[in-house]
Amino acid sequence: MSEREIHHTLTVPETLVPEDLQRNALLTSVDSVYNWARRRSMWPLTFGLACCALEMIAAGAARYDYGRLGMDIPFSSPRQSDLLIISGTITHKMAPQLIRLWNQMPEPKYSIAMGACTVSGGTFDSYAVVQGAAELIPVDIYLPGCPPRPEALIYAFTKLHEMVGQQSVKTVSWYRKEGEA
Amino acid sequence: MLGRGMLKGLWVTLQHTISSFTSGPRRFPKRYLDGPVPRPEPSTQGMLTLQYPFEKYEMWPRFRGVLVHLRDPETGQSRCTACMACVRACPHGVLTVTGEGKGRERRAKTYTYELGRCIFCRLCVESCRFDAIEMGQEYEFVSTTQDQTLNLEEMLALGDRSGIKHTGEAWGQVE
Amino acid sequence: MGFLDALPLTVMDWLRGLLGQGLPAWGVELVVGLIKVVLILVVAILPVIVLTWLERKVLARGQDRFGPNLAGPYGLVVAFADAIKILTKEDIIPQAADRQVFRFAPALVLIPTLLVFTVVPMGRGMIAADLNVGILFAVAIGSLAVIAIIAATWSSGNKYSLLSMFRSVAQLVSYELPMAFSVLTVVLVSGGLSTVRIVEAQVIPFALVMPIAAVTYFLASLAEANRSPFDLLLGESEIVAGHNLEYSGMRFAMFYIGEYAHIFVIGALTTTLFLGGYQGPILPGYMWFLIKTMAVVYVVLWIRCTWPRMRIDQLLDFSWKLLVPLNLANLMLVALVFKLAGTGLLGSLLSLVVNVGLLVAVGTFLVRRARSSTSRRTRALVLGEV
Repeated sequence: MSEREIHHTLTVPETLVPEDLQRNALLTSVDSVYNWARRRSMWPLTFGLACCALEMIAAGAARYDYGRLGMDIPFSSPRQSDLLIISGTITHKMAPQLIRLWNQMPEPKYSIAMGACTVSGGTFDSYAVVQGAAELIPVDIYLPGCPPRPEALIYAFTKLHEMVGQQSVKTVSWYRKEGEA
Repeated sequence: MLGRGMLKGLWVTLQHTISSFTSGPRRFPKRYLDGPVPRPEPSTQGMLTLQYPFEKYEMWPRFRGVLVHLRDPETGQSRCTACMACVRACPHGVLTVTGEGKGRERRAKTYTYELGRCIFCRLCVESCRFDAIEMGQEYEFVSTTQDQTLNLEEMLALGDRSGIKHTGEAWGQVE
Repeated sequence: MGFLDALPLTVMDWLRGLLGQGLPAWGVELVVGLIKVVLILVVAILPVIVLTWLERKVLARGQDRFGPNLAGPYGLVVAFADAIKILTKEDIIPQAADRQVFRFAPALVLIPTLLVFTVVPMGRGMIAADLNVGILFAVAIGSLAVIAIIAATWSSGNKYSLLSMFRSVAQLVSYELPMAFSVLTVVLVSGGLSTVRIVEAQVIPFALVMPIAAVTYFLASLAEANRSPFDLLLGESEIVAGHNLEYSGMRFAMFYIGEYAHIFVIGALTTTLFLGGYQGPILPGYMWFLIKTMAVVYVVLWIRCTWPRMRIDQLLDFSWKLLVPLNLANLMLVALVFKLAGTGLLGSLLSLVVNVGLLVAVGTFLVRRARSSTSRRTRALVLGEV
């Protein structure tokens, strides 16, 4: 496999662990186990919006199989899933449901905006369509394409895994009370 | 009749379970294929799963990946003259182009391609009369921000990597 | 009884002797009892780790996929990734929930499944409690699992999980009956309710003596465990996700473990009742038990991989109109055969003939009725006409 010369703009915020703590062997190993577990068992929510959903299904089927990454249990309840793949055009009619599903998911949760429509509204510059999923919920990874190839979706997963791998139990926001730094 | 279909179904899945180990290019215990993976024939039996980050298909010539710029072998620069035909052709305002120079000397100064809105329709390439742009073979682009753009240099580098010489050569449109 | 076969018992006796030097008799019994409890917990929970991996792999291989293969060699440690992730997830209790019951229900899920293991003989003499009503105990406790489902769904305050509970209860009630009939047939032939006695009575495995009862028991226990093709309390397209809809984090993990432990229980009980339990040549008894159980478990996963979900009316029809009358007839015929011919080889052979004959007769009857029927549904169901 050839090395990619041009690595595109994936900027992950640097870890906020203080320097003396970074050498703490226990903390780093806890972190690595914690992050490994979340990477290798990231259950997606069964949620398809439009044509990108077909490509998402294809990525889960035999030819591309994202089950290899430990994602092969698409849960239909948001309470049990970790990853929301927003696959397709978000109409204003569907926006409340999307927000509701996102709010029902327990932390730690991640989201991927898949396809041009969810990144920026895409081809539907119209009164009926939300211009990008970022208007509704926080998005971790934006994946352009109309629709993206199944390989591209799995590429987005690997980039999300990289992002998860750089988080630390000490600094993640979801184990803190509201308002804590 | 009377559950024959159910037994037949069990037989089919059993066959597939066994053939996923015994036939096909990735038969047990070999797991990864080396190099670019040929696209399998529909009749192939056994495990066909492309294990993406470790294996990749070679895209077919008419695959519409991201927009790339083609390099003029004489000058080493893009052939783009900032004539704005592609900008006018684009249905979503994905492209922003500024030019410098007059007449035959006119060249593109900046060429910004907003990836997040592009629907890969190739209308920009159809409209290009200077053999300057083409759809490339790349599809692996993600970002953590909504605005993901490619500039002229990046698109030229992608064009070099795609190995495309002229606009529309895979479509049989080169005169 | 070979050395390997008796090894666990030898170790236990040695331990008993060791403890007897320093402890009074009741103390020895207490410690041995505790060891048994821990062993049963291990036997019930260890398969869950294997089964989460195995189910995903079997499903994947049946569909020409790899399944999880990046977490460890061949994805073997994917269950640990699941466990760590699910334990560190946020725990949500909905506002509409009945908080006490909501918290209590996940603990209830695992108890019936664990209790059933006390009466399963896992090898020669390897049984936690050889009750003289063993199989009755297993059937009674097995149906208690539905109480956990009722508690979980009713306390969630969610209409979809409530609907799934209705389905689950209807399913349990209608499949308890054919299951009891098939168990009754076994009890009749073996002449006792004790599980050890049932295993010892199987010189020829009962699956070969009375296949109708064996298949009925297997299907009914699938229905009781809410496994595919009877998993319609999970119907994703209709009622979102089933009884554990509102559960997240650790509480959901309990349901998850309970589901997989229940699969292992299906395997263990089917092995005990119909496949001759720990009996088998050459290998030690516990190995035979494990092999047979895993074979049944594979069939459960294989069915999950193949058959689509049944509709509720098909499910109830299948139980009340086919399995119950069939097993009632089977029970009477088998009783007659064993009364007349004795429980020896002749009786077993005659019983097999009677079973096959009954199946052929019922099949012919159904097909002839369907041929003369004008109902499209009947013709499609029985004759396979589209």
